[in-house]
Amino acid sequence: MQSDTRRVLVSWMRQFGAAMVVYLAALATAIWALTSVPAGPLRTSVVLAPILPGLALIGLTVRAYGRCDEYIRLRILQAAALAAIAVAALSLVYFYMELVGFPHLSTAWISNVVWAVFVARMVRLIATGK
Amino acid sequence: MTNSIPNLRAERGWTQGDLAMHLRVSRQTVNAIETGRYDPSLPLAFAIAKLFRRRIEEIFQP
Repeated sequence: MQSDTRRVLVSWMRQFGAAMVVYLAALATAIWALTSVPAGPLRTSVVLAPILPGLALIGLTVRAYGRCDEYIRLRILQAAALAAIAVAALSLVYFYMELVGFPHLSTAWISNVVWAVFVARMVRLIATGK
Repeated sequence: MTNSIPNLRAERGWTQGDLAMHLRVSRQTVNAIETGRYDPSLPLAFAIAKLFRRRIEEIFQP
């Protein structure tokens, strides 16, 4: 991989990882605040706080996409498409599983599945170029 | 689509990395084009033709 493109992807991975750590910390704090902080402006702020690092994950990815060449862009789009297909399939299956008694899941799980599939494909792209 | 890029590159003694540098794309892009896994966009195909001083149809065959 050309050094510039590789640098862009490795840089994306580092920044994405840092943003994910911040997001998870904010998420844990938000979950704690929901049960431990009395209702009010403070709790609202803490619970909404994960939105910012969550949006940063998207922004970092879009920026990296814009800096790559056409083939790598295609691979990134394929990773995004695969993540979308995974979510569509899991949503369809779990919708019916819930109807027969499986526990209700938060829509936050959709975000988790999307990022897990997408990041796995991106790691493969960085490691093998395929 | 097949292409004669490996031969044209070999004539000049270039590696895939050298060609990628001339075209300002990643080495993986050159590799994907050479192995037929990826068909380049028209602008990139024109850039390849210009670099090798050939017509596009002399380099790429359906």
